[in-house]
Amino acid sequence: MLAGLLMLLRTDEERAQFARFYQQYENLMFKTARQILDSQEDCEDVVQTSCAYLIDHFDKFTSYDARQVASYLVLLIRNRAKDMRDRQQKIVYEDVEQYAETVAGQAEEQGNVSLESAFAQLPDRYKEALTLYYYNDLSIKDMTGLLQLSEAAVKKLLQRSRDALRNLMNAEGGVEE
Amino acid sequence: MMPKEDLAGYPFNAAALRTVCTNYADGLVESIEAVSLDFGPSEAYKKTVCNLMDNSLRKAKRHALYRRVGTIAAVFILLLGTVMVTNAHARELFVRWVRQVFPDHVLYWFYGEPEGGLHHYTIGWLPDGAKVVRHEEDDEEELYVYHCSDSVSFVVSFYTLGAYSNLDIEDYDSIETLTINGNAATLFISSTSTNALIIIDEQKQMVIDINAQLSVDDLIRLGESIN
Repeated sequence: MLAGLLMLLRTDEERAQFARFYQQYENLMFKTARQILDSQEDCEDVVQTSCAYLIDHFDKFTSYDARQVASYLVLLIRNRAKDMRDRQQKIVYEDVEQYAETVAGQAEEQGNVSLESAFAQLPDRYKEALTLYYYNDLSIKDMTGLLQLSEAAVKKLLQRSRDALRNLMNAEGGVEE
Repeated sequence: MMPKEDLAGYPFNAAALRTVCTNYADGLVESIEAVSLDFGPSEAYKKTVCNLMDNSLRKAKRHALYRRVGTIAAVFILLLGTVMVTNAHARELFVRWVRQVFPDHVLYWFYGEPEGGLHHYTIGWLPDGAKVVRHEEDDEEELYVYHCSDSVSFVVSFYTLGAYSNLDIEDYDSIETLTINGNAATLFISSTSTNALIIIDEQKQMVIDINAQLSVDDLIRLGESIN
């Protein structure tokens, strides 16, 4: 399968660049998948499908530093791995609404918190969406492919994430500049 | 960095949010890297991937090598061309004969010993009424002096490419380079003196030197008729 994936890259130089990239991050990708999935075959599947996505968006990495590349890969693999696990367990989330209710409840209980503390309390889905948008600097369109959501769903997810953060911080006491 | 929407109404700005996200991402990656895998990719998967990656890397290395060789060759050719144009001694080594034009004279020289000796040419065309009044010959030179009338004369010399030949050009108004019968030639034009045409026959290692009180057209026609 990887042979076909490599052929999607236009030049031998790009293919070599991806090969070096893959060698550097293969371990990290497998470890990320392993944290969520139990079987070796599932991990290999997720890594391979993620590589197909990476090849399509390989030009994005030319502007990234090493930390951004690592976080991008981790979030991509986590997303793919969770999708696979949820499909296997036949779990369906209306994730945005469900998380919003949970977070609202937490905010009422806690009162003023810092941005960092509030962020730590967000569900993983919200954290990942904000990180992809504000740290990896992806556009809404980039995120649709990575998260496998529609554009409207991505916008809604980001909106909910920011609102949840604000609610947890409780605006009166938690202003960050 | 792409501009993000205004976070007015929120108790945080994009920069603060980015910092928090950075810390989160770094922590996430660190926590994953610290984990030891109880299993990794299967041997079959690793073998397939390794072969694919090695082939791509080897191919790219070859291409990089070809590109480097091509770049070096291109630079070498450019440098060589520049040296040949600017340095007469370099030209001498490659072309064997050299013409250098100075403000008051032109220098011709030939690298190495000419082979074959004096070559005898035939002059195919002469101006009306031209007659040979003198002919001289030795191992290295043959000379004809022609008269057309009391006031018009010209000299045709043939000599082997050998040591330096020096031609004073102070009396000439202009110098033009041209090709005569496939050979490099230089035309020296004067309004007050005789015109001159020097042809280098590299193949026969000979110089054809015409000094003539003739028009430029007749001079060139005479030169073209010599073979």
